[in-house]
Amino acid sequence: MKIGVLALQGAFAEHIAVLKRLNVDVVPVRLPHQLEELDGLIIPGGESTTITKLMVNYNLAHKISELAKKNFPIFGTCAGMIVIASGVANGKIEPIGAMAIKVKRNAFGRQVDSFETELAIPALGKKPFVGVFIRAPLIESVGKEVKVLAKLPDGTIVAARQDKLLVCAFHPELTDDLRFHQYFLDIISGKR
Amino acid sequence: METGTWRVKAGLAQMLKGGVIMDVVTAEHAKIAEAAGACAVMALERVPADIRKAGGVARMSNPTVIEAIMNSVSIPVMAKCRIGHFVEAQVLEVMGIDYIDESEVLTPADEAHHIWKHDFKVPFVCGCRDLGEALRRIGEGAAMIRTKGEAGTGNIVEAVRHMRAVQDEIRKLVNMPEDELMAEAKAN
Repeated sequence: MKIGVLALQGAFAEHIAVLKRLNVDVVPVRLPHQLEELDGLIIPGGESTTITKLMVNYNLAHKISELAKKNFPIFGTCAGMIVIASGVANGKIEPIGAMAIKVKRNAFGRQVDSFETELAIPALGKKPFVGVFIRAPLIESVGKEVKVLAKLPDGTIVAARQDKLLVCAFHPELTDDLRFHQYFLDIISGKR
Repeated sequence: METGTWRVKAGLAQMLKGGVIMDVVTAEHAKIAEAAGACAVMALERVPADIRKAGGVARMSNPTVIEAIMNSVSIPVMAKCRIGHFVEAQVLEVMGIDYIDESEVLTPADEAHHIWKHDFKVPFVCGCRDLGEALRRIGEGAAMIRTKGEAGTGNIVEAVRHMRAVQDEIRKLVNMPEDELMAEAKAN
């Protein structure tokens, strides 16, 4: 299996390290031709304003949006989730609109409000998953084709799936828990 | 829910990787930086070159300036405090700044000691010239390290030298047998 990690800005090295631990081939993607012959793509956390701008400048936005329409597996974390959403509440971002979710940027406040918490994610098994939320976004609403995977105790949606598109508002790549990435690999191979 | 953990402090630094943090002095500058793709801005009253030129005591920026910048952009906003000046840092934390730069560009408030940064929820970035300095700052709680360079001159050779020094020393330590580490630590 060969997975691309969008390596324009942000925590791409962390995702690459996790994928290597899961023994898959990894391609850091910076140019459109590197998207060819991939089995899936991870869009990492970082600054969504910066990442979306670079995606347009390097002709990646259109190509990734086309791939998403052909049921290509994409996993977006934090800023990556904002990038593939269909709507962003508090402006400044032009998402590629691949997934039927509406998101809100910096939804929990500034950096002093960044937090970690244990999440119940039934799709990953009984053991709680540590969610690391850094100036994190949240999912305001989902389309009927979207399955919610995780919520905070107050009901805020923080992880979801729509066919082969997977998103979370937190950072699995900053923990030693490989289950979220394994879940994405299972989606690609059709096991889930 | 736990805030201010080491993982969320260092995590924000990880999210900034590969990006540009732009010095700005007005809300208008900050908007331009954001529109041009900066991943964060450093809110200043004056840029380092002007601070150097003006002489006198360089302090934390006026909170009114910082606040105007914070209100104008959606990307992280950083601000500088004087070395050892924990009250300036407390002011910045209460204002909700996203990262504090305990900076040698400003006039030091304490010649011997830095701020004990573990007491804060807001993360800190500090400058270094070598690995020993970097590790002392990390020991005090810095969640991000930058090189010092020669502020305000535009001459990057100092920054390059410091970056080379830190990387060289890391490579040396990684290859060093454990029984030599103690002597190496003492020497630095």
